[in-house]
Amino acid sequence: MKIFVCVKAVPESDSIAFDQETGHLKRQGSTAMINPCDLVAMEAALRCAEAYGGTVQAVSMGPDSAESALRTALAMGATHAHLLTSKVFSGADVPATAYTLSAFFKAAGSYDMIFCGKHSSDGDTGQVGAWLAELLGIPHACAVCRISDVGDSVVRAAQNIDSELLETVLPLPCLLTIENDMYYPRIPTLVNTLRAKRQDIACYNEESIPRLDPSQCGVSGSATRVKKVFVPNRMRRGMMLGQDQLELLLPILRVGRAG
Amino acid sequence: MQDAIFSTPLPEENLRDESGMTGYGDAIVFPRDTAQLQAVIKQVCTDRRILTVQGARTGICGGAVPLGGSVVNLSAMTDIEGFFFDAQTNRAHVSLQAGVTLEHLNQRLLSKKLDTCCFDRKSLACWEAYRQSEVTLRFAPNPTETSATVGGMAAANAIGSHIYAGVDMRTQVLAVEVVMPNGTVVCASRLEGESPPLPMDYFGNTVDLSVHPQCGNCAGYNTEGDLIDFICGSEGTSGVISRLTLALAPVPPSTCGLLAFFDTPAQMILFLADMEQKAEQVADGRIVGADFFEASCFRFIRRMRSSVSALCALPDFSTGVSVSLWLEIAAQNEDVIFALLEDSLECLKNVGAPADLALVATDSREFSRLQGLRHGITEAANLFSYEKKVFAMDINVPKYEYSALIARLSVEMRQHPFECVLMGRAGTGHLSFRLMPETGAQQVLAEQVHRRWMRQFTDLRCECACEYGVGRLKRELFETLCPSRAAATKRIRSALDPAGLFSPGVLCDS
Amino acid sequence: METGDKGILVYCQQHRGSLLPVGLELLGEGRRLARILRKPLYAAIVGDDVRPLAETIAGYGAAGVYFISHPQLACYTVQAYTAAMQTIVEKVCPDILLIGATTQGRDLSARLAARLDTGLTADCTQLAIDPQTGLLLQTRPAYGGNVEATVVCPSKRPQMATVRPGVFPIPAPDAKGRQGELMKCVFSLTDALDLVQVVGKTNMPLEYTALAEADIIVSCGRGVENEQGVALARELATALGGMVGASRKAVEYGLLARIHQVGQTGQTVRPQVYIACGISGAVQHLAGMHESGTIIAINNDPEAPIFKVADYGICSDLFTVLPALIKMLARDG
Repeated sequence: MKIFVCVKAVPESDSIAFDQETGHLKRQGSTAMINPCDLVAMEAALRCAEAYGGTVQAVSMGPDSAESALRTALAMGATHAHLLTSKVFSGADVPATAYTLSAFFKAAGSYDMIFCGKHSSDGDTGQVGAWLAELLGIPHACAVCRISDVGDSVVRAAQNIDSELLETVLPLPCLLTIENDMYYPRIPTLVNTLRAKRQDIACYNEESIPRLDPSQCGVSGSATRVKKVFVPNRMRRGMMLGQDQLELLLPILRVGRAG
Repeated sequence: MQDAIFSTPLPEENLRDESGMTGYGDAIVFPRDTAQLQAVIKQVCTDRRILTVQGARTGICGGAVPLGGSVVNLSAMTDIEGFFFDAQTNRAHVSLQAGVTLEHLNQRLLSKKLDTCCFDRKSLACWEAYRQSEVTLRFAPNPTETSATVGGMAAANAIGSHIYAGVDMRTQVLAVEVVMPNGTVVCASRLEGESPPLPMDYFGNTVDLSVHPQCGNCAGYNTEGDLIDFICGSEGTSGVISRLTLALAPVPPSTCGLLAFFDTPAQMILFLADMEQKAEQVADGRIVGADFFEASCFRFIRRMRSSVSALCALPDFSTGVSVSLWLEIAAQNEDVIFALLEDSLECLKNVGAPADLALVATDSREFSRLQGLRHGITEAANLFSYEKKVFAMDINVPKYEYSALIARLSVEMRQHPFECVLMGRAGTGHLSFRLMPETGAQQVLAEQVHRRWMRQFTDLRCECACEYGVGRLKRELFETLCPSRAAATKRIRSALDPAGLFSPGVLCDS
Repeated sequence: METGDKGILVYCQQHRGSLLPVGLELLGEGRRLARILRKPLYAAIVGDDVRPLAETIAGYGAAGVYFISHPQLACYTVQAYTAAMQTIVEKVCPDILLIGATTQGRDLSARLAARLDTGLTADCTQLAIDPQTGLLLQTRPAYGGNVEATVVCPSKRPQMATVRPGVFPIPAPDAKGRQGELMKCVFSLTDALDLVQVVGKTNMPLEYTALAEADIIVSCGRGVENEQGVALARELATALGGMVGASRKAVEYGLLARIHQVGQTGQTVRPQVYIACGISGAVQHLAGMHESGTIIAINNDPEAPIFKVADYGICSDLFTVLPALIKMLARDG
């Protein structure tokens, strides 16, 4: 069984800077780490592979710094890592990202399942998984909190949707987006960490992915455009209260209580 | 300066610390500066009232539990008063009141944000230089309970995994101001151009200070160094620490943690020795911590996992191993870390250990998770033993006995019907364990085992380790394992506090 | 998708035969946008036997309510719901499509947008019409709430946006009692939709859902330190009729179980009142609660970042403040 996990490198929270004109994140010079939700997706994939036999590979679209996210995936136990990187891919919104990933998967040959994390800590849209599944023409299930069985041709998963737990059976190949609290991600082993450091990561650009239409990637392939980015005027009162002024909170707490 | 806070009766929470003991008392004072503290102590002397000293009450040996009388609590003395930093050498120190907590201090240093209202011009300039620099400083002693106050840490000579590199409070406190039991304020300083008095100077020749030489970081008074060495570890009986100057160290640019597993304790000791050699050959990397956990810890975690959420973040540990070692490595850069990690794989294979099981944490999230192993086990043990009698011991073992003793205890522990955990600081010959009986029958058995082990340790010339202090709960252990040291401690204590007013029962009988 | 000119379409989610308020909230906002654009407002609802719900929706200002009733739609599967909504969208050709950002809504909107080959902006907190271009200006938080971004979808149609429940108020029904026209649509089942099957359905345990839906949350950070602190937080939460939350550090320290976790890798909550106890205010935590109505922060550390995003800050020991608050509420009755 072959499972692919889509991972994203996101900025460490202290080092966020964005380009005021384009509204895009300045990825150069920020320290990158693997998106925390993707760690859970990796863990889910590794457990599946261990339980039902198979391997896990990691894929990421991003600048060179995305390599660190892939090395973490390798250290956790992925057997191979693939980096889709090119100026042509940059500035992509969700559709363009999904398109580029779909081109990779279409050229990749066979796969049984693709796992995605719930959302990224920077873009936070939580849409790439569903979009990618649509472009690949495969079924998907969101908010997966349990995988109970993987057979030759189907997977049985539980989805946590709006206060209901749905037991769903999907045919393979399919895509699953993994809920945040499904697992604690594993700590990498020494052996895998050292292997991951030395291992080659396969890199692809617009020329090495067959049948890729560059106009559907990156900025040109984006259906939406960021018009402006601003620090919101939250209008938080920022009022400091002393211990003797707690009574001032009563009306607020009462309102909340009344609901 | 605001007035000291005075309260009677004693608030509930101040009758307790983390030992599970509950005390009693009449009143509590929270002084805000040395003058107020001095006033309290003078009053206590005049009224001949018992006084117990409290910091953040994180101790597990009952040292902060009042048994009558009044309490003086230092948690209102939280000013950071001075700062020194030399950008060329990265030498730095900070002067502060004793009630500042470890986490507060390290947070301020990490964020480089500080309320500098108490600083003089020189301190302000140094702070500014620090803010502009690329280095991050921290206070190196790292006990797991970071909510402890620095005064309390000094009084108990607190240690963490960094004891491996010789980091404890005695080596990191550069100056101390203490209000003695008779109300006088004494300052001792190791800063440039000053040298602190020796304990002998302080006592004159009135007290016989000879104390048995120790084999490790032993409990009880240290009279072999200067006055600062004496005050650290005196657990409040030599006076109340009001202010300190602490040495600060740069946070290493790269760190990683390795959790390795072994089939026998001997393998672990060999591995550690090999790794020490490898680290010495590398210019920019070194081992800064080496804590070990015996198999009983993992059995305990497995049992407690579902009811103690502190354990849920820990990985599943395999059942077959005998001991595991948590090694903290610090280096100038990633390349050195990875070179040492490659070395560690080689060393593991050389000693025949199951190298495939070893886990490594190269980023801070994973590092905190694994570092939380010790804390998680301690928390689970605390919860487990709430209201039940627990036998807790911290001992220092002579080096040549260390691995054989661990192996023997390990075999025995498998056969005990009651829960127990065994761990220690591998670099200093330290062992820490808890026996946790659940039923009456188990309790009787645990008592017997405890007695037998005490005899064994005495025969092996083990000592009572200073980790966690002696307080009230470890007195028996202290007196059994180090009888002459305990006797000397008693002698010195009566000289310091003839009326027996200061934290009576802590460290030794008054 | 050809250029739509037929106005604004609002998807109304139903759950086991009841209408979720978010659909009505979006109809209210949709009314406002439709007036500005001078275009009609429509609603859409799919499920099994949804005519009665369609009738209810019809009173909230939509000119037409398009609905599909089919047993295959009794349970949510993204495959069937996407196909159903695709049918409606192709009929209506809307310029704008709004969907409530529930778990279902976020999932459905993503697949549907991909199917329709158009742009989608998720979790909008503000919608507006650009006076020059007539484009929908979709504003949403990014980078864990650090910044907000205004997004437009210049050429593809419909312009799709999802909006979280509770951002817009529930409108009053149409003042003049007008009812929109009910438009029943036919949904053709294909074999492909049968491949994914829902084989079981249970209610999530209350603890799971209660936090995300709570009006008041008393949240514990690392500063809560121990069992006694957690007990105080619970007591306050009970007194307020609210739920207990936790930061990641508190969960990893063992103070509370993971289901209480709020933040980037936990749950996202938007209560009316969020009381942060001993929480430093790290970005990862803020990401999960920055949209709370009123944020009250209790922390010993005057430098804690939480005070920058709080409405009310109490820089004091929570072990004194929490009992004081509990006492105060008890007196208040």
